[in-house]
Amino acid sequence: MAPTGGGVVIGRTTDGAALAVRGLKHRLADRTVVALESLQVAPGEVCAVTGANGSGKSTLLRILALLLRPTTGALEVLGESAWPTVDGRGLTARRLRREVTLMHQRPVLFDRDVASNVGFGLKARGVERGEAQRRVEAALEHVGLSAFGRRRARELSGGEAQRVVLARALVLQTPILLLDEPFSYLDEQTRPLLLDLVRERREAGASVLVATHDPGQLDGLADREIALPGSGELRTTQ
Amino acid sequence: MGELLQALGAALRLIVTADADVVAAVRATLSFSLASATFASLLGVPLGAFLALKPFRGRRFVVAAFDSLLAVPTVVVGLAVYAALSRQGPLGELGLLFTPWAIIAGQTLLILPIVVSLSRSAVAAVDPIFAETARTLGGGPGQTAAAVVREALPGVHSACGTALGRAIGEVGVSMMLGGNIAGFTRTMTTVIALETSKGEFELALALGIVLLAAAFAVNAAVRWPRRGAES
Repeated sequence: MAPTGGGVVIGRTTDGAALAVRGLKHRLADRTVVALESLQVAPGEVCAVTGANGSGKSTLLRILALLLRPTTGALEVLGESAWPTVDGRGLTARRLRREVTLMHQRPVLFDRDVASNVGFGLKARGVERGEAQRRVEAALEHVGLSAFGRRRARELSGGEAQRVVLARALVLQTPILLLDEPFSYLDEQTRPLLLDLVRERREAGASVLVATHDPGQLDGLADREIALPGSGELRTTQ
Repeated sequence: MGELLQALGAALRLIVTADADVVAAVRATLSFSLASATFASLLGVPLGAFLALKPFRGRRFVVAAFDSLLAVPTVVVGLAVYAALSRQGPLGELGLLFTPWAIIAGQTLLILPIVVSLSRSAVAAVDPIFAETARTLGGGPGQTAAAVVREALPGVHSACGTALGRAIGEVGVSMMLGGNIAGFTRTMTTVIALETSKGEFELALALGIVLLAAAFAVNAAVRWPRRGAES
């Protein structure tokens, strides 16, 4: 275990990867949605996951976020086996889930005020109230929404909602950040903020995976591209 | 027609002058039904949320059972609770029969399926992406369930309000378990039944008007947060 710049302790798999996948396959009915022979993502590495619609990008991210159990295969997160689980009840996966943040394609905000939305993950982790409030305020300031803390989230515009989601991802500072088509709902003002977030997390030593149609949108931040063909088989390019 | 109008005028006078019998019946009805709605909500909302969120073997059967109980006649609930609370019944020693507590227990059982079924539907209708978002933000099972229920609050509120309305308007449970004792267990509906059977319409009409107003008030309270959520 080694501390990172963001104050997060990152574990390593035996070969140093923060995320490691072996022989992963996920099937829905009689169709293979995702099939990965091997994937390793190092701390501080940014990967663009590309592929056409239906190629399994979102499913892969949900598996890596430990929200979906793959049909077969092994997944290690920060050096611990998430699937298959050793405890048999998924408690390890539940604990490791707190080390991963997944930002969905469309901004999903709870029907409460903006500050509560941003602070949700901190509250779930039992972060002390004053500290949580300080971090929420800092995150909101970072995305230019300082005055929006008490506003009801459902009353925000699409661009503002996306910024709140960014602040929510920023405030957690998890060692693994997964972004699912983050550019599809972004306006021009919010795009640089997203790139800042990716840059900041990379500098903090976090692993970042970005599912996108167009890796060029990452402005050269991606260290490599993981292309998912429609068949669900993996090809990686360095 | 003239007699009816005369009775209506007398009924309105009873309401305007806050007649003691009217006030006592209204007070009893509201306190019993609010208590039973509170108990039913405390039990029914978590149970409804559990049925919506936690898959388990036999869940469909339990859901179908609660849905079927929505249509249970009040007298059947009254009969079952009467049997339990009567001197020979398993809970007879508690001495609750013909007390407000018997009415509250009966009404709670009567409206529990309403709260469970409607809460379950409301929670089940929440987009699963909210649960997934809560989980990916680090929420445990309890925190995730609470976040989803909070998204379903307008529907849950509606479930509790509908149950309250049913408790206010029911007569079978109050009559069988309360015994219609004046100043103790006499509710609006039991007074209306009693006075109508005696051919005395003034008090019955007065309470009928108040009952109607209460039904409108509950309905408005149920609809108000939903409008807010839709705006």
